[in-house]
Amino acid sequence: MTDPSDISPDDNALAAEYALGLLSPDEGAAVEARLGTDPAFLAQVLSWQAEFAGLAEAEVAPVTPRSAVKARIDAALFGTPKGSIWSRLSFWRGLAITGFASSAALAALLLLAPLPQPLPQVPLVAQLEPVTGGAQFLAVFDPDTSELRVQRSAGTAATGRVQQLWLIAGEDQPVSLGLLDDSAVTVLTIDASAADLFPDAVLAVSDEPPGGSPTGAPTGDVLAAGPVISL
Amino acid sequence: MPDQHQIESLLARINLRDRTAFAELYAATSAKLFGVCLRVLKDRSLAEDVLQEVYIKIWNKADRYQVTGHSPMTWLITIARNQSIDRLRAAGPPTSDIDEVAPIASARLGPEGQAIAADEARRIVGCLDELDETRAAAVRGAYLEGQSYADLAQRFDVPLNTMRTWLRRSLVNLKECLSR
Repeated sequence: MTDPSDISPDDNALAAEYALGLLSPDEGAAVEARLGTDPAFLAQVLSWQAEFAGLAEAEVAPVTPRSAVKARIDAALFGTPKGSIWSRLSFWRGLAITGFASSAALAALLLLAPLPQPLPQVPLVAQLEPVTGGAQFLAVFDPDTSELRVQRSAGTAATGRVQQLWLIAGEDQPVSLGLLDDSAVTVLTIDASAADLFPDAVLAVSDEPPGGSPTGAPTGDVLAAGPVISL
Repeated sequence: MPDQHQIESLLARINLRDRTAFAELYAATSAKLFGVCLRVLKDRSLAEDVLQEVYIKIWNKADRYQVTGHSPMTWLITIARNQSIDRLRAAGPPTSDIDEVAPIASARLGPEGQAIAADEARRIVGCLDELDETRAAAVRGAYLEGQSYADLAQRFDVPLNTMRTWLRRSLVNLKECLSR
């Protein structure tokens, strides 16, 4: 935490006024310009936001909104309320990724992993964290060559089973990207229609019978999953 | 109310477009956030509109949550409160999201800054108790009800500049107490 002595009482009051929304538009704009260049001051604003939110936490009584509100939100975000493939699939039920894979952590992993040289120009990467079991993967997609390189960091397929990689874009049904080798690295060539879906997609690995899912959709447990991030 | 880690995990799943997690987050937090909106707006129908905007923002910006280093409830309450203020002052410029105006990574609060709001809640209430009653009421009015300096000056029947001077002094005193 930033040392409070870094900042004058005047600035502290200004940070609080900004957090409270008390400043005039001009003053507010001046403060915002400063936030970008003055980390100590920014820390004060964040600290005030947290303190004041604590006040709401302590003193604002919960009031249950009418159920129509949730329906309106769902309609605005997801269109007509119907059971989408997404919500029907038990595929996602067990998915609980407990933290975001930060770009920094991914960058660090990339430096440690024996990647082909030279590095792709604008790689898209996904760190697939364990969901069921301990399997873990790092996937790097090079849009220039349409090659997806999947490195197994931990966990192998169960005896008599295979691991299948899926891409999930938005609310769409998962698209199979192929089966993973038992070796440490699998390189898959992605066709153009799937390649376009990589930004903002989620990659997931499922447990499947030999030869892969017979249905074209995941049938077994989700072993690992993670969002695609561009570095 | 689920604990901080549960909400954090729900936000992570929402970031992966998990609607079930979104429904769970709504179930767990909407009453609190609706309370925050209602306290500012004092009108159920307006507060419902704003609550809708708040959850749409949460769905669309879940990836921004960690950037602020805030606890999950701080992040959610701050969105609800600022969205309500913007509605209250519909004529004025919207409140910027802090992560959009500053490179927050460089100023992120340490782990102690992310501590659950429960501690913060107790602390700020205790520190407000150390202020004069009317001054504490002014701080509460500004945050919880979104009162402007003009509103506060009228409420406490003092000139605008006087209002600002003594609210700023109260904030400095408050900060001293909070930093102890």
